Amino acid sequence: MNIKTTSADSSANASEMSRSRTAHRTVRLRALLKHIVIIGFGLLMLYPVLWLISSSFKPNQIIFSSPGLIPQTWTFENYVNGWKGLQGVSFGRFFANSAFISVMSVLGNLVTCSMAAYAFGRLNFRFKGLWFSLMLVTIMLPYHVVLVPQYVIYSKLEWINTYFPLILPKWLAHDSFFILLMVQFIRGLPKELDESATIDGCSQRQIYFRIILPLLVPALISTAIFTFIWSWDDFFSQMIYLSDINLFTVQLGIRSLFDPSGQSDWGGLLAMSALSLLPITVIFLAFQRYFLEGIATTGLK
Amino acid sequence: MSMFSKKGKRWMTGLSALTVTLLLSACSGGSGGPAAQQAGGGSETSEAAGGQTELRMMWWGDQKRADTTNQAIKLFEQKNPDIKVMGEFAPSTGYFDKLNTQLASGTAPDVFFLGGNVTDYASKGVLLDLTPYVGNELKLDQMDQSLVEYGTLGGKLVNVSAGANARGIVVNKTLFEKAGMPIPQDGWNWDDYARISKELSDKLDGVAGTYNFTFDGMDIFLKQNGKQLYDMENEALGFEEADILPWYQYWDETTKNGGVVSPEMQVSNPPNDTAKTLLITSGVGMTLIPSNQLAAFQNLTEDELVLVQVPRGPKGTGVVFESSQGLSAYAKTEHPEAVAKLIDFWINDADAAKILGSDRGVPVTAANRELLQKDASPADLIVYEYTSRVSEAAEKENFVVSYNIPGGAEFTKLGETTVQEIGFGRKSVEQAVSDFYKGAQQIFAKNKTSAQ
Amino acid sequence: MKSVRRRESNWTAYAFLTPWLIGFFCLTLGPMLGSLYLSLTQYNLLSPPQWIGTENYRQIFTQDGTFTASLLLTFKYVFLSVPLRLIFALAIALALNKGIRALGIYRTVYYIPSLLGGSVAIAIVWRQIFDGSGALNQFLSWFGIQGPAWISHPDYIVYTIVSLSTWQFGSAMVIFLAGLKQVPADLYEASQIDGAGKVKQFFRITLPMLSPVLFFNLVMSIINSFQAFTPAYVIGDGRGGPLDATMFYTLYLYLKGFSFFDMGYASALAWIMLVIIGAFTALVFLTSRFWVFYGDQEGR
Repeated sequence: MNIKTTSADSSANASEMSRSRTAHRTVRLRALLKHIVIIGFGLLMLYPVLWLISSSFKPNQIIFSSPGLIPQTWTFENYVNGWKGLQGVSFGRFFANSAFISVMSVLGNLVTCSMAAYAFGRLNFRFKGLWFSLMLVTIMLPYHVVLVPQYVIYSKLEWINTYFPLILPKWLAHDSFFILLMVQFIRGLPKELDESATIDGCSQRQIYFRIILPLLVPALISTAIFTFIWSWDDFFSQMIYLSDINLFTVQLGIRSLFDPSGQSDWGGLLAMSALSLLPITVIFLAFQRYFLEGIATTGLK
Repeated sequence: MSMFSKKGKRWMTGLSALTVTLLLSACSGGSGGPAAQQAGGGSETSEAAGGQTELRMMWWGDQKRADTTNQAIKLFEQKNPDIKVMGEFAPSTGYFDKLNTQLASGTAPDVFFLGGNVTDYASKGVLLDLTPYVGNELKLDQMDQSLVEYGTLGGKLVNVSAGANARGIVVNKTLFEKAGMPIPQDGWNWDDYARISKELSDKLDGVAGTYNFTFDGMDIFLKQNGKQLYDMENEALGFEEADILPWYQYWDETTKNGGVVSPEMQVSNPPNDTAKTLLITSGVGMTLIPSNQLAAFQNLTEDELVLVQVPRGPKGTGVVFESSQGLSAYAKTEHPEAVAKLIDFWINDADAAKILGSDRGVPVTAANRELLQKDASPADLIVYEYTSRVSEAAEKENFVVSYNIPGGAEFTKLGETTVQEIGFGRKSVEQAVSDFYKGAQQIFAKNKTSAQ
Repeated sequence: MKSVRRRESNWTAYAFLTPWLIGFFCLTLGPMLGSLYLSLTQYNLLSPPQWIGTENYRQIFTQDGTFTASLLLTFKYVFLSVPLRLIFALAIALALNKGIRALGIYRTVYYIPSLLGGSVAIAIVWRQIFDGSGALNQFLSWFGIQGPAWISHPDYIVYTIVSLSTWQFGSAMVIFLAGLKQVPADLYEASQIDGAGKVKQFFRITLPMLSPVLFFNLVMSIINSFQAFTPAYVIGDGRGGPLDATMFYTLYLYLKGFSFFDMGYASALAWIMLVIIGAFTALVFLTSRFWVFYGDQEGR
């Protein structure tokens, strides 16, 4: 099983070399144009986020009365005040809690969803069609009607006010979204790969570890990114299951700054919202390079 | 190859061990399903070590409220060393989702706050009748009688008000001065209100005279005309279609004359949302608010706000002291006496009153009101002055308390939709009111039967 | 020989499925069946459910105007937002796939909107843009156009919600990027040698190779859009208003269950939604034979 390693960069270079110098200039011009379009459109996309960040540096009183993008007066007060958190628990704690939930969820989803996806995507077994349809059906029922029965289960297990209801489902491949995602990627892989591996004497488990998992990396990365971000952003289940302020997450902390009928700390809310974007942005920036063409190989060594 | 299969076996064994453990632990609880919920009974509190009773208490609100509530809880624990209170706070956006989930699964806190929707909970039998504890753990003799009555539903005391307010018209004094208009005074009527709204709109650019409070003020209008929203004694709607039609027509006319916030603005800048309301951006001159919200608005604007009594109808202002929110106990609490003690502390204790302030409304006992009035902030002082004016007026012309009709949330949604249908020109006033009345009857009938 | 192999395969497959099976039987199946049962009862959340047979369903189909309206609104949303999201996501993913500097930064820029999720901040920011006097209308006024109050007029608010969900196309984009990563570069090389242009390459190589991922994005977007709740909750007043212009199906269901204390009815609504989503998903699965190409298929 020797499959060719290629790099997109090398092919691009090869084709570029053959072109003349004038062509080279138009190519550069075109690249510049592409940058301008991408940046321009990106700014449009980012405008709301930029507004959020800039407003987080405005004094609380003028956030809504002077909605311009550039603050006339800058203040870090919102960050200082916001960070203090609630009821004596600082946002540092909330960030740590959110990070813990997100990391545990990522691990769970990576392990169990890829296992289920391998079974559905590659193996043949009895009742496969039935299980597969059931797997899909579970995400078609709106969440709100299963909430109460699920809450009953967790409360019988005495898991209310713990992270189990938030993390355990991820270790039981509860997110059909990721199972289907990985199934699609696995099915996109040429079957000759595992056929030749079978001939070489690999068991199905070995195929999973040695062939499927390495080739599944782009899907695993996507799963990791999404799971992290979605667990991070999830508000409803955190709100339902967590009551102890020491267990609160970033999203719960942010929502707690907000009370439409009372006095919302908008400055703190915007500051902490902006801050809460930081870890997930870094995670994304760090992981997205796995999608860069030319770094990894497209086949096996 | 043999190495692999050995590893494989171990892997499989590990997996099946995990399976069994999880199956045992996860399934032993059983997917009880909704049928088992009610049987599950009892809140999760229990006797903690050292014979201490543990209570759970849940509330919603902003940070300031969370801090004061926690302080009050600490003080209660100091004064009652045998009781420990776990405060559970939920952001206001999710409070009732959480409470409902906990009630549905039989794990609700021992004490929790309810607002005007208390009728919905009372009718479903999840609230403890506190009557047996009155006079013992729970002393209500200092409390305003009308507020005690407010929490007494179907002969049971199910809610003890933790703060009172009286609705009134908030007036942006600064805007009126800018327009060179006199500040409205108590004793005005609805024609004055419409005229002043229009005048203010005309004189100042980008300012509307008033928000449209057709729905929020409907119960007041009904009482001004000798009717009411919900006739609790007879378990019936307290009004006919013809009783509310003039009110809707009044608002339609005032809107068409140009004194009222546009329907679009009313949606994008709802009056009671402190972040969006035009009250704090000098965009509106007047509107109807519960008095306890004044301080919140005043803190967000440099304009000076004052409270004026609601314009009068044939029978007066129709405004009384109302409970802004109150404490209810869970019917399945294991420690009703401790709960009663806590509620008693909340409303009677002078130190608690000092900590809690008037954030949930002014204190419900006259003694605590006097205590707080002494060093109230300017904005709070306006509230105290206003509420005492209302009390005085109520001695001359008394009105019954307004209750939400059962199915309050659905009724509110219907009411808001009706006002918008008129505002956006989807229906004539007559048509909209007629549909509204039919809808109200349906909601009422449905929730009345489900209560039995 | 073959049967032995098959039995082994069964064993292994079920071993791989074990976590999912436990989750399904212990956490998912019970509540699902529970909600099915509840849909046949009158259940106000706080008192025990009362069996009423198919009465909820009868009411939904014969008397409930809001059901019809919210279903139509949801269909409108699905048909607008799913294609828009996917087209944006695919176009940007292709533009940001390779051959340009600072890719990581650009990708992050385009993904950041999706990071915000349904946060409170979004509601404020969106109002700054789509309000009657918001940024969009100020922009339009340069061209002499007087825009409506996009975020508060019942005729326009749904488009504001669609634009919000389109704006958050990031996750579909990431999945497309991951899919593009899997397209073997030698295919492009070979077609380049054959003299195929970029457009031809896109339709001959990229699209077919991407079809499993496109299929995934389509199925998931449909399922998620039918269940859209947060955008309507964040942009609207949370109660479906103004009028019923933001009364998305799932929002209606949520209000019925949690605000109006009619969880039995809400459960019936949920199961109707399940059937509708199931039908659409099945349809996509059935057509997939004609346009999705898998690596595990014969004769590719």
